[in-house]
Amino acid sequence: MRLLPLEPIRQAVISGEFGRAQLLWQERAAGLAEELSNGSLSEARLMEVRELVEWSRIVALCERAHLQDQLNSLHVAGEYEFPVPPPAHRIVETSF
Amino acid sequence: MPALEYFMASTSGTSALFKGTSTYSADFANVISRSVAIASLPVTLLTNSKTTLTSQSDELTKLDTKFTALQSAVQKIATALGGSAFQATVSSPNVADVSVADGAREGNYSINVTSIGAYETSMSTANWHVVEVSSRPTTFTLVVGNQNYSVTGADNSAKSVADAINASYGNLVQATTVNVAPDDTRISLKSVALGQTNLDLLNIPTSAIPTSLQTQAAAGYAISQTTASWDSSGSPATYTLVVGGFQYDITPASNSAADVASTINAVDGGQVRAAMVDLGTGGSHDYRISLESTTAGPIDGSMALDLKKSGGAGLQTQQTAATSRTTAAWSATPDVAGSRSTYALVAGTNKFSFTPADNSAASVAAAINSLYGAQVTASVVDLETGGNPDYRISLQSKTGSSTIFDIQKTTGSNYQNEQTPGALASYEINSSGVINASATRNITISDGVTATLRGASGGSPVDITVTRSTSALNTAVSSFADAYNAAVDELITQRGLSTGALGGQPIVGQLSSLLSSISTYSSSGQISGLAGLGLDLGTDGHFTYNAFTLMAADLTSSTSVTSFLGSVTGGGFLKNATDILNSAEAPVTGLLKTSETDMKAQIARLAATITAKQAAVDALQITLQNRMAAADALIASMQQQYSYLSGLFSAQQNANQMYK
Repeated sequence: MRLLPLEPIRQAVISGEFGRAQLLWQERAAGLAEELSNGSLSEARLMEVRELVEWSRIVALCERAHLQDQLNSLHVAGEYEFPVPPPAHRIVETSF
Repeated sequence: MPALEYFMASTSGTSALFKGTSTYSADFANVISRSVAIASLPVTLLTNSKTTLTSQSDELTKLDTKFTALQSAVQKIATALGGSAFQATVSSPNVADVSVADGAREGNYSINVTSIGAYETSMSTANWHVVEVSSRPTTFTLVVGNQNYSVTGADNSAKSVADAINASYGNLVQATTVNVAPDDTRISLKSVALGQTNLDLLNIPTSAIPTSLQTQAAAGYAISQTTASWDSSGSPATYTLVVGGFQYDITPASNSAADVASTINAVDGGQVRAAMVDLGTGGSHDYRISLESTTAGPIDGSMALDLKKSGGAGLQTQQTAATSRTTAAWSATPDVAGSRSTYALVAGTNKFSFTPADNSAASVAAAINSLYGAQVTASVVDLETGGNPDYRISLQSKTGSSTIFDIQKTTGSNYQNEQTPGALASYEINSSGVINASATRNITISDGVTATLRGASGGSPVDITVTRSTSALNTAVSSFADAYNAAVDELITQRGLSTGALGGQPIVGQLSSLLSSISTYSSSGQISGLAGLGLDLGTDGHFTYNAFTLMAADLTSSTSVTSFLGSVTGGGFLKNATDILNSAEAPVTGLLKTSETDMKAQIARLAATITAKQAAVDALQITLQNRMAAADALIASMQQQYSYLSGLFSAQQNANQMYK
């Protein structure tokens, strides 16, 4: 059975394409489960996967922290914006 | 009461203000009224003129309003051709988002995204804990793009340091704190630009003494470089190497720059070193051979370093001699974990700190050329002997000055580790065959058309279609026709039998001529005139707009419509109409504006003259009244005395009759 490479997952994470990384991971995870069930999952392969998972976790944590900072900046900027007046209510409304 | 009104109101023979007591008082009042009326005649004339001018000014204001509306209508046509009127569709939204702005043109574009690139990130190697020295926050060195920046937080906590980085260098890097595990807080740095930016945080002790790496050579090391791109064509030729006063003939295995350079290094006797350099950009190569003498000063009386192919002309151009070279073989030993070397280029009294990706001579020279290339050129020369590399960095002044150059090295603690490498985005537009690299994911496809890269296109280009809405243009052209007709109507009221206030004035003809220039604009394109857009000019000078004609033209060839209309500044109908209307409406020089200003100034001058003349008439009236009053009083007194005497005389006569 051909082993699916893990490098594309790493590349997707590096370029910030987390959606693609997740799709690739789901694809690889099915293959790994199959390797595990038929006993062909080597320790080296398992170490490689473990390293990728831990690295991805930290990268995702950092990305989330950066995005949270940006969100906070936007929130602060929004607080300093001119308030939008509420829509004026019409005394008479018609419809056709 | 003003004299004029006094005059106009004097219908009776008795003055309203002068009431004498003599029997001649009415005559006196009439004299005053007549004199005042005669004196007021010029005032009357001036007032009539002012009334006429005021009417003309009011009419000019009306015309100004109509022409301003027409100017606005022309601008709205330009807006209808602008970015807001365009829509863009992408065949694969996962690859790119496309936005359109002013300057966009309809068309089909394509983009093949090889890579969307990556922002480099780095993270602290361990829990952030830097102890303050003498209770003072540490000044850290932030490294971004090989350049050093000083950062001092409110204290040494991860949060304070990250805040200080964002406050001072938020345009280069984004810093935040991350809790990767309980009691394990780290600083994460993310580059703002795509590509490798060599992010790090260093702590260089203030007590660290930098090591000077260069030796000055006032006589200079001769350097030359191939004048044009290296020509490696043809069968192996014999080259003549000129080193100062010596000449050597060499025959390399081929004419390639690499072979020629290696042959020079093998046979010349160690007086000169050759290196192949690539001056190409954007994936294209431009190979040259750089020659550099190994010793300072002239060689056999000359600094010339040249190459001649088959006895032909010299291929090299002499450069400014390098006046600084590394003293000993360059040490490229990597730093131990937790420490990092940083360098400083010393140029005279200036010192520029930088941190290359590694300690190799090539990386240090590349960083110098990249950051300070305007002042100095750094080149690596291999003075190898016996097959052992001996790299040195030579520094040449770029400004021709005799500045002393040095490279200093300092080693400090480093806290960051690269987490994800950076990479430039790469893409190809319209199957041009040129792969572009970009440090941003916002790519200009064409003027006004910008794509934001979302993902790679997997080798096949995605299509981008930009179209323009006809409805916005239809509304704008219709409004233009209305505004034009309104201006024509206003001008018509100033002509013919029932002429308006500006009847006979040259400005009416001038403005009509301007309108005519707009309506009769013609072009040599597929659409030659406004009729092609559904604007039919009638014999009465008015436009009749047919929306279907515009829609048909826009559907058939929207490019022709866009081309005919052009833009406000670029050309076509819009520029013609804008220029014409500016000639009428420009604030200081416009025909209408100057006429209005002149008219108002004239009215103001007349008003001042009228006021002055009126004051004179009023003064005359008062003088006459005073004089007439005095005369009347005298006559009244005389009449009273006469009456008394006459009565006395009559009484005496009566008495005489009675006593006869």
